[in-house]
Amino acid sequence: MIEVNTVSKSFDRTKILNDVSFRVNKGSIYGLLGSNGAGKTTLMRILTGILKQNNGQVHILEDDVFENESVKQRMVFIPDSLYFLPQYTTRQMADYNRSMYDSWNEERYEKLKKVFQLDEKKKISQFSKGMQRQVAFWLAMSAMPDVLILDEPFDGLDAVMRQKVRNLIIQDVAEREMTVLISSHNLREVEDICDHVGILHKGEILLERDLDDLKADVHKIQVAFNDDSFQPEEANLDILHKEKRGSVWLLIVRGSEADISAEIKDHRPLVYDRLPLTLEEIFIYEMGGVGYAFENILV
Amino acid sequence: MRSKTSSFNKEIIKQDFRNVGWVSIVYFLGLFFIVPMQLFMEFGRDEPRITDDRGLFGGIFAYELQSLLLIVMPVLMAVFLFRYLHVKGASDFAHSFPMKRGKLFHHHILSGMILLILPILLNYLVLVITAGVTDVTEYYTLANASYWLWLFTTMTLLIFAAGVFVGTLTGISAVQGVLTFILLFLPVGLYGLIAFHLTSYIKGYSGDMVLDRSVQYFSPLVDLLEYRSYGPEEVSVPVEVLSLFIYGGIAILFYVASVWLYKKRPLEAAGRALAVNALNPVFKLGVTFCFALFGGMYFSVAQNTYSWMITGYVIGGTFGFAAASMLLEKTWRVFNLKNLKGWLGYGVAAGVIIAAIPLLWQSYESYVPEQNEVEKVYISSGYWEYQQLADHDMKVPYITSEAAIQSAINLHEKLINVSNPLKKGEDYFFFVYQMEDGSEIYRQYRIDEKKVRDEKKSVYETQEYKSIQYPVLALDVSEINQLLMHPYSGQVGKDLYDPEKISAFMEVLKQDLEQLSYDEMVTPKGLDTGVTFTVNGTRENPYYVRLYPSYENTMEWLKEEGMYEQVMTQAEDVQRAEVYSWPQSLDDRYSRPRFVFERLRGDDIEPLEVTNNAQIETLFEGKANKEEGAYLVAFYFDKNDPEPYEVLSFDEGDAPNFIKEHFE
Repeated sequence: MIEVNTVSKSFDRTKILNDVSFRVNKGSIYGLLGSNGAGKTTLMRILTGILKQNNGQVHILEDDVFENESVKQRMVFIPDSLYFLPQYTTRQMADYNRSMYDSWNEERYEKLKKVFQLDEKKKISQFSKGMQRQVAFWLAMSAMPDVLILDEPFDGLDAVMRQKVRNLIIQDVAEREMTVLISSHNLREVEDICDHVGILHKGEILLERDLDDLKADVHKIQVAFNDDSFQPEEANLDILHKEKRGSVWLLIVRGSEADISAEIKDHRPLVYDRLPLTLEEIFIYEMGGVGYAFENILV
Repeated sequence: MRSKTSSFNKEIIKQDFRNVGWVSIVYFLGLFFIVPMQLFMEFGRDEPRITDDRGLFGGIFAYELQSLLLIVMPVLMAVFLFRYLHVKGASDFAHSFPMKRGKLFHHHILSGMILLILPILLNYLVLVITAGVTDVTEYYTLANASYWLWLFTTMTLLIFAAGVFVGTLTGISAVQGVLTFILLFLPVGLYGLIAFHLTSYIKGYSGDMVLDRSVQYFSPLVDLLEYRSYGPEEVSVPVEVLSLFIYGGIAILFYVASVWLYKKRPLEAAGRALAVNALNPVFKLGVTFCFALFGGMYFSVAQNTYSWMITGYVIGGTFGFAAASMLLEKTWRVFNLKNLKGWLGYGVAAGVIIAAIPLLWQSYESYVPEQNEVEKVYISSGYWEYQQLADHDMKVPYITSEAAIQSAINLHEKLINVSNPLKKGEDYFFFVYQMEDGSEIYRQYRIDEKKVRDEKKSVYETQEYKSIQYPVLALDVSEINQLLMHPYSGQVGKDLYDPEKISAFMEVLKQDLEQLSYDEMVTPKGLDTGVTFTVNGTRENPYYVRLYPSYENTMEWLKEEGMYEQVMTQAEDVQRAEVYSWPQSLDDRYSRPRFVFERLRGDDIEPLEVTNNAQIETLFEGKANKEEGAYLVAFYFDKNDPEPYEVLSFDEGDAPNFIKEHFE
């Protein structure tokens, strides 16, 4: 598991991260969302013990991560801009990684060779960007990490390969309770894999949600009444967004479905529909009140 | 699960070899071709070259090239080995693995050391094996080869450690390379600059001497490069045993500092000029200060006034500050308000340091030893004459009598009162006091001799000083193999080989020298003839003497021996003489006769031409080296040569009448 507590980080005098706290439970897949420059990569470099935070604590597997070999033994990081040793083949990189990770699993490596179908004797630099990313996953998964940290992992992967990688990750999470942190600037990219999502904006965590809860908790409804006496503000509803088209109200409401139905029915609506709500919409409405243009972050 | 907690990771070493193995190979091949290969080629020669005792540091083995490799390869190794620290991707890659920074660093250090020492060691082994197989004593001994191994290993590791240290300090590989060399040269440069400035501010401070005496102790590179693989100097090694131990110690210090810095170093510093932010101001101040000193030196050498020197500080300091800011900000567009404030701040700070340094030497300037504290004193016209004595292992002719020491102290006091370190005159005065308590005190002054004439005269006329001025006085006649007298008139002159003749000549010469008056020493009359000596088989010695016509005993002896006309310049030898009136304008009044002559000739002033032998004879009464007078006389021996041989001068009083009449 990953526990980040009031972490701050500055480069020179520029504040990159400001009082960031969040938690990723064991066996969970956490999506860290944020626009460019939000501080995702910096946060991940701190999480993997490359950089040291100025303030706060980073606990991974219940221990400080910076300069901690035993924690880093059980963690693998795939950065957004991949790096391989110059002139190395996949096989050579595998040997290098094997020498670093006690938990390296050679059988897994051989098994994954069949999945990825890449020539392990070829220099990695000759591979395309997408193939290089597959190599990175191949090496990472062969180390059998308990914590996997991925920075923009699906960049450059085609749909088929993306699905393969996703399945690999989910399989390990299911079988070994691997903990995964994925950063992305695109909600759609991660909504089908993550169970938790956090949004990082200008160095601060704006919100954290359990996606299942979120979907159960926010509703889009369409109601119409006989007269104009219905005032959404006066009703006992937690309204995130309202809109009136003619006599029809469009409301985004937070709360359990039963409570909302009961409340609306009290007002005797002529029409009462529940409409489907995408995750993206939920975020936009959730955030809307805070005053940020979240469309940009999430799409 | 396998336990792989062993602290050694072979893959890192392997990767380092794949990455920087080429440096090692180049180092090996370079040394191999310069040293063992050269040896094999020597074996194949029909006529072997003459070798000296320098062995592997000698000319056959091109020590200069060896030292070049020695200086460059370790820096290359440090730069390429730690390149990963300076590239963000590589740095993140290396540090995301489960390995503590210290351990990772030690792995790279280890591979660097192996890759650097291996080429040296292999070459050493080739040399040792060759020595076992065949006779190489002509070229080197095993002790010599082992010293070579030790020296190369130590210096390689020192330079490598310095490179690694700078590598952990900076975030740019190019800066690492340049800064490593600057770091290794910095002490010498700084020392030289400061010595120069002290010379300009402090009366009596001799920068020449300070630099010549100890400069090699301030940089391992100078220590390596100063060594000559040929020449007559005493045979030695490039770096002494004690120095090697010290350099080894410094290498360890660099290593310890690097480990510490590496652990502290923020990895986001990849790409930044300085990894440790706290060093930015130190760096800026250092660069500003050094450039200010350099600017001050440049302008004061050119202009010799304090106002130009200060202008130099401002220009140099500004340049340095701008350069440092550009490097740190990685852009040339640093001209903004923030930097303007910084420029003022750093400028003031550098100015304070520059102003403060001479204050530390306050008591130095006014110090004059008491006569009863002084055991003996040496005076000469410059440090180099003193150094020459030391170079030739000669006895330093000290002044020891109380009266003479007192006269030297009087001269010293007068020099302190009248000299100005920046307004340099033409004449040097160099003092070495040997004190009763065993310490030595050195002083050097530069001033026009006129200002201290009386004091100088009383020193010059002591016999002891004469033996300094004329080292030939101390020359043992039996050591002279040959004596060569050569007038500049183009006449052949005369060689003496006969020990009896030499001995007789030396006797009269010494008599004349001992009787010389101050005026005769400073402004001798007439055209001289040089005398060089071959002593113990070599002509490299300081015994050179000029014979003037006023040396009566010697002239008498030459005439008796019938050599006078061959040895001394005669009126018939002079093709023509030109006489000018010495202008009394301020510019020309106190200047060397030759400079004044050049100017007059350049101005196309029509001289009085003299070809009459009787008249030329009278012109031989003119004085040399006088910086004022009424007339100038230039002598020509060859009508095809536009340059006169000598320019003498006359005062109004003692000029021949025909000159006075002409210029009336």
